[in-house]
Amino acid sequence: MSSELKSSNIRVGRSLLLSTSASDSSESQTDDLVQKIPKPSETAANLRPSVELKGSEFYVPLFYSEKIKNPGKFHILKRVVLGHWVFGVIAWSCISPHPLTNAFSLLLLTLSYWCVYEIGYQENDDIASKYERRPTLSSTYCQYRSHTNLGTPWPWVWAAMLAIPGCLLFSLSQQTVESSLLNEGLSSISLSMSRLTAVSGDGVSIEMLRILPAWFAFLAVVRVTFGFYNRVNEATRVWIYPLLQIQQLFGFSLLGSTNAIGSLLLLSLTFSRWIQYCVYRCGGDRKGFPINLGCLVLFTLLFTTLCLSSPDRTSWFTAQAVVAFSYCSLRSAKKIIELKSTVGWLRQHPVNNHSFYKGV
Amino acid sequence: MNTLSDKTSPPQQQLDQPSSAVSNGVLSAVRNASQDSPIIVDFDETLFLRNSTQAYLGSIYPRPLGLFFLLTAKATKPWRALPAPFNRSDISRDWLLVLGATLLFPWTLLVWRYKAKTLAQKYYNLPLAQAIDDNDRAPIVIATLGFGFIVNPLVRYLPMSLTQSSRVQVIACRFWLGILDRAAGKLKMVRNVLSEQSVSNAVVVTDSNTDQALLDVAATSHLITWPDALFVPAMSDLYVPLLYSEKIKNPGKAHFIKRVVLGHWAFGVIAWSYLSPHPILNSVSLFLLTLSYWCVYEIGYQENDTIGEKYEQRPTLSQAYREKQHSINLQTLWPWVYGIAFAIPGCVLFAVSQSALPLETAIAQIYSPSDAAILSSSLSNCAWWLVYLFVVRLSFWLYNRLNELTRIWVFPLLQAQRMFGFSILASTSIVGTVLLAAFLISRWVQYCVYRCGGERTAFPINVSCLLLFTLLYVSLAISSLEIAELITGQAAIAFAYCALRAVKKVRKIGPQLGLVTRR
Repeated sequence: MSSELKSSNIRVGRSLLLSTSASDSSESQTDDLVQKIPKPSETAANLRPSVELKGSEFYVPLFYSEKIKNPGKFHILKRVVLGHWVFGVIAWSCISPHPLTNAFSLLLLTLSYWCVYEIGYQENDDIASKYERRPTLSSTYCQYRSHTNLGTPWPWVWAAMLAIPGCLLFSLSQQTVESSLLNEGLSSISLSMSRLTAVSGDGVSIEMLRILPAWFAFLAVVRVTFGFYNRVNEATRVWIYPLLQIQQLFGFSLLGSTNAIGSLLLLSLTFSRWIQYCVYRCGGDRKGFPINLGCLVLFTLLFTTLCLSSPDRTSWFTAQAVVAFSYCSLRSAKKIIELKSTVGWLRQHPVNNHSFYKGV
Repeated sequence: MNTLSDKTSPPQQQLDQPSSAVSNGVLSAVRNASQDSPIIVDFDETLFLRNSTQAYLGSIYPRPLGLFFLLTAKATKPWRALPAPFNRSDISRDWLLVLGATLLFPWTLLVWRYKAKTLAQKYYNLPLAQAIDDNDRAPIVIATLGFGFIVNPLVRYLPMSLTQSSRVQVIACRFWLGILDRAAGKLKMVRNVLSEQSVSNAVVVTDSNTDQALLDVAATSHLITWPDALFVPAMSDLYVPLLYSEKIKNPGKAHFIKRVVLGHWAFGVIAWSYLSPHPILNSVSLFLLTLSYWCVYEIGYQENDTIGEKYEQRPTLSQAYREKQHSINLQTLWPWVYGIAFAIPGCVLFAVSQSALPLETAIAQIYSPSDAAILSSSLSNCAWWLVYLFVVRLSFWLYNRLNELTRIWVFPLLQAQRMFGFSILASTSIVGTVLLAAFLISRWVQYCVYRCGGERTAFPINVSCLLLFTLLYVSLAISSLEIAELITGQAAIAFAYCALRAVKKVRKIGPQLGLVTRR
């Protein structure tokens, strides 16, 4: 084996030997293969020292979420951007006087939130590996865990760095000035900001004084809640989970309120996630309930019922509602196509109800 | 309806599912009985695979009156007033019922003679009858604690050649003195006709523990429950609103109280009656409309059971359904008749309750040709409600025919129809909507858990309803809606009701909650 590897120019020093053959063991080998390769271990946990990741000692925002908690799941794209920020954009930016500025501020605040939130991810993994019988740990957890420590001030520093401009931009985006500013493009954000600051500088400062501490307090509450969640048992988590989700999706409402349509959209996603979590925690197969389709059904249901109960039904038919519905539909389209093969009529496999005496 | 006879439920100490060997032994004993060994065979649920007394009581016409008579008798238990030992229900109940039914509804005798032929030919015990027919030597004695005037027409029409012969004797209770016969017991009744020697040589076949004395003295005794025997109570095929839901679909679950009253009507009262100018009248109308809804909805329950039994690999069927303790067919017009009968006064009362006028004026308007506002509103309500009932029926029909995975997505539609059904008559408030939506979603969560293979009891609906209501309410409160629109007495009642419903379950799941424990 050693000679084959040598001939193929593979750097054996950074490899991991996985073998079922006794002839590959260090005792039976005289060549330098096994001396260069760490000894085979029985458990994945013992593999930690075998791999090093350059730079992983430093805190990189969302690295743990992307590479360790959810490797290969496009966490940043799917959960942070599409499953958090975009929902915020529809709920808040769509009704903001300056939607682009608002959307950009929400992106910064979303990242700020996740810097703190992911501390809980690591804590969750550590507690699960310690206490749970069947912990849900990724394959990379054992490899990278010893090189990452989110229990430092760094996630908070990053969160603060992202929050300050985020809050500033958010308060700017909430200022109502002349309508020409509503036509701002990405290229004119700085111009808009300068004009906005000039127009309502004092207002923004006061608003900043209000929302920045509020955001930091929110981050602290998020951290405490996740910390508490991690320390309670599985039966209790079912009831704490929706609170975590509400915090995640409604966090921006500390800075500015959304409207009923925005609330319904966020609630739909919250409830949909909760349903899947309940299925999982109650011993079911969570794949049986796709979140995105659940979100679409819930949004449609809540929207229709609240619209019908409202005295002014026309006020519900807005561009924001169309965008929200379209986004939910778009997200669930893939699952609907996937589910098409399973959705259908009851299959006919009749049970034989034979009479006892038929054979007598 | 579980009325009225000892033998309407399977006896406890018997062979529930006799093996082929056992039944072959019974049939062989009957075939081979000698000339000196009379074959004493029980009638009800043995030679005749139903209970003849219950079948007779089920023939009372008009049937709703007959049902009323039976239910009244069941509730008042008049046999308790008799002196001992006749005050025992197993002795005098059937006799009193038969006596009362025949005297109050004397035409039942004619009806019974007409029905007897069909019943005898439909429910006779083929293997046993064949075995009896195969024996041309032994005397045949049909011995029953049923009544002669009920049993004889059935025996006459049994499709057996020997029923016409003199070899067959029927020993049954008398009409006027049946109570004495039943008190004496079957053994004594038989000994009045047969000699003691004959009885001790007899082959006895019965399904009843009460024949133990007879079984003990006979040479060959067979106590056997026939698998095709039907334990059908009288009038159990008559449609009674919500009976199927209560007794067959959800036996022992207090369906009417928990699901219909507390889980549907009470939510409607909070969402609509609270806002109505005449809340009490409105709540009465909602009660009638709730009953109307359930009459139609439960058709789908029976359909669901039938389809589940036929096609599902692991159907969720109650014991009552599996034991076929019913012969109700909901696929008739009766549920609709009741549904509409409840709906008409419900819709009229609803229209009156929505009127801002004083109650007397509003009621007077119904009869006033000059001002037809209430009347037209009532008619409109009726029309809409009828359409709604059709949609409910259609949705459940569709749901029943979809596979399990698809049902996950149709279930919330069914629930939304139920909870928001009254909104086709009048809109509710945001708070009302939030309450109904919270309950709807919590039911859906539990259904998803169940359909995805989880343990649904781990997720109590009432606790999640409280949580969802709180979350929905708070999040809508912090959104841009007018806060005053949400902080109302209705919201307080809704929250209190959700909390009240959740208390018991919170206590139950309380001990499970806690900190994570070390492996």
